[in-house]
Amino acid sequence: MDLPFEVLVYLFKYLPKSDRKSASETCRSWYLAANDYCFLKNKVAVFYKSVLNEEATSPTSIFENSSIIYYNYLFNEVEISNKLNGFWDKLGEHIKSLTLQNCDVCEKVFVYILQRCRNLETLKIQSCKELFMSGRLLEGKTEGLLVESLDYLKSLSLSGNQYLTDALFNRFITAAPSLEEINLSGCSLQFHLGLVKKFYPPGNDIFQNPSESVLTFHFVLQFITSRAKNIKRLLFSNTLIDGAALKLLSEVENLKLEGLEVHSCDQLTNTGILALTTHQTSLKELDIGLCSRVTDQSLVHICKNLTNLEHLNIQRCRAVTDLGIAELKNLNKLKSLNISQCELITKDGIENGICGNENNVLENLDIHSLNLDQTALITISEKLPKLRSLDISYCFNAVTDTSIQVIFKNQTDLQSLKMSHCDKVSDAGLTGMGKVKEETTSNEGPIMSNYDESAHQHKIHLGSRAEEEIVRDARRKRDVMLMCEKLSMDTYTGYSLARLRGLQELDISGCNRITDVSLTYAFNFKELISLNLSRCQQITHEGIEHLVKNCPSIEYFNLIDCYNLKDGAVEEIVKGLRRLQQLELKGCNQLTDKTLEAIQAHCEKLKVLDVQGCRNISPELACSIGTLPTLHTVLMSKPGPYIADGLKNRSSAPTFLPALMRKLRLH
Amino acid sequence: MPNIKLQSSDNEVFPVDIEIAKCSVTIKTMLEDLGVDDEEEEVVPLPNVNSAILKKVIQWATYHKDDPPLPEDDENKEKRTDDISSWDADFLKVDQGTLFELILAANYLDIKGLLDVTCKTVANMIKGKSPEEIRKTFNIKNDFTAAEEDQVRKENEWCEEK
Repeated sequence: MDLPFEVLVYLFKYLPKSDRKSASETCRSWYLAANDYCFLKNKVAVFYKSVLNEEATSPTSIFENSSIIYYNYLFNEVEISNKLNGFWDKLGEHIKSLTLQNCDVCEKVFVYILQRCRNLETLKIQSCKELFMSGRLLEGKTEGLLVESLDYLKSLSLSGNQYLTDALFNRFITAAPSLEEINLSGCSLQFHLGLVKKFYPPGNDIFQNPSESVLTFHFVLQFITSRAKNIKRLLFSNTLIDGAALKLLSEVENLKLEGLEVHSCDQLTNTGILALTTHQTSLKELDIGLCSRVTDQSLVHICKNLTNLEHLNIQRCRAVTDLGIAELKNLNKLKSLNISQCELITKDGIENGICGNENNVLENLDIHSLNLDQTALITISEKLPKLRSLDISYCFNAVTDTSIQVIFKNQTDLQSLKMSHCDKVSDAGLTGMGKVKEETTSNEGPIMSNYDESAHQHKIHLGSRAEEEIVRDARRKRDVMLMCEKLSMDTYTGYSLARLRGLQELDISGCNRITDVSLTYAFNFKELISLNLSRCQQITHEGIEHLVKNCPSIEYFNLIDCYNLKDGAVEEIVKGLRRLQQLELKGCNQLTDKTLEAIQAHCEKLKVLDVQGCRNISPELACSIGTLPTLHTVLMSKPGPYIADGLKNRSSAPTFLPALMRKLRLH
Repeated sequence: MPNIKLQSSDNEVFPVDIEIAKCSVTIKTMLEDLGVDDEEEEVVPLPNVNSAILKKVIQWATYHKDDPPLPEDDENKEKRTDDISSWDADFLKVDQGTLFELILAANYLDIKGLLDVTCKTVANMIKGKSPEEIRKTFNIKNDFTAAEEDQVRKENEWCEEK
């Protein structure tokens, strides 16, 4: 049965992206529908540490030969030489977004690229320091070629380039008359007024003679002032922007910012934020995470004046207390909020603030490392029913079998759940099949953790505490296992993790009470892409077997320090998870060369492999695995003396091929 | 209740409550454009829908006649597929040919609710499968040449979606 093109496109909108990829590989009409503009506009061709110079094998040639035209390209840690000129000749005019990260590219080639990519809307040149080192980029003759040539450029990022100067910045912005977004994060932006005096004597037009030696906020500010009506988003993270500078920026006439990111700006003070909240009331996005000088005073003003905010990040603004947090109730358009690592926040702040009323707008909440208790998390779960992503990692006291059960009951829309190192959670909480303990005092949920220290307080310990813990763990595991086997899915009373059917990302790393029981009975996620089980040390082959069968879409899989896993488990993984792109096996020290053989035989899409500390894996083999076409990074330990001890008859040190050296990182 | 008559491609005529028929935007527009008087019992020909499918569509529309209007689609959000009601799930326990014909009919008649639920059902059948498994499930003929198939796979390997 053939469906018409527009119906296929409509149907594919219901598919997660990795399933859409599979669908596109079935036949021509599905391929075309899966690459309709509505999907294609979000696709990026990514060249990561690839060797792009040999024409026959260069991955760029794949896109030159394609029957459809891709718009977005990203190059990371790639040497871009003039051998790629053919690529820009052919595709340049179609490219809408181009990102160069940590790339080796010389000035001449770069100018060539820009001249061919005249329809760029987004240009990101991040941490390409050689490009700016001489300071002569786009100078003189080449500058003329570029004038107004980036007519459509809306977003320019020059972040992480320490050699950027006013003069260089000026050459970019003159070529791009319609800029709306500028990112200068991590550049050595100078705020000192003394520098301004030195380089810009009063009376001169600064655009005529921009400094060749420094990048000054003064110059950037003059630029923003001259384009105030166009500029909508600014990013100055990891700079020394201070209160006075932010005040000047906020007061620029006609400037109506929609987004400001000043993450990790230690010099930023309340003065700046107060000016911001007075003048920039159209802000929808504000990120002041890791700005340690920000206090409640700022937060109160943010919540009072910036009522259009949809995204707010105040991660690790350590001085913030319940007083400020309670004001968050005024931000009723807020879709995502990060208040993680604000150590002074307690239950009261949460209950009076975001959980004051039922909130159907907030979708993303990050509260990792807050000192909350179980009841606070239950309140969050009950008052925020529309959450799609939730990070409760390191909330040791809040995340228990009881509170997690309430989350599984209410937050069925969750796509991302992170609860790293919440080690009170056990199989009972994850499967909803625990034993109800008589002496438990909480009535919140039907399922209680068996973990109850008070019952053992008066006993005299004969064995070590750890030993007793192991015995208890084993008993608990057996109990839950029995229950799971007895009960069918319809009759059990608790709530299983499996209720979160749309889950795409799950992090339960360090939840070391989790065993195969959970993997067997609570893991059934068709759409799960990213799974972190690192340091869940009790899991074995058996659990992996079930997991692989029930979660076929996993692309990122972290099993660091799961040292009970053997070769058989890895074989199960690589055979079952056909979409696997990243596999982390660091510290799984029972693994041998058989693991690598299995990976080599079955992993067609693997990009990153970490086998550090797997001392029974031989470096020669790890090296030869570098020939997998998509693999760009292999992390492994340096061959140490233990290899010589453990295995005799080993051939001498491997002779690394240069191409593989690119991929291989020895630690 | 005023009725109208819907005529399938194989010339079977179904009398249907006009309000139920209007859940199809196509029929609704047709009636408005023609200025059909509610008093008369008009016959609306539907040359793209056979009687078996039309019967199913009417059954679906009758059950869902009091549904609230669907919310606007948000392009930025991934759409859910696990919220199919149990009635719809039972209703769609049909062979694949019928399911695809229902999609076509829902598309032709412009009944968004039915199109959504049928597409969700098919999407659920695709999820987690390899290209070969998908072909097998839907009996899709692989019309790629070996070189094209290789090309498509490579494009996908080097692409990421935001």
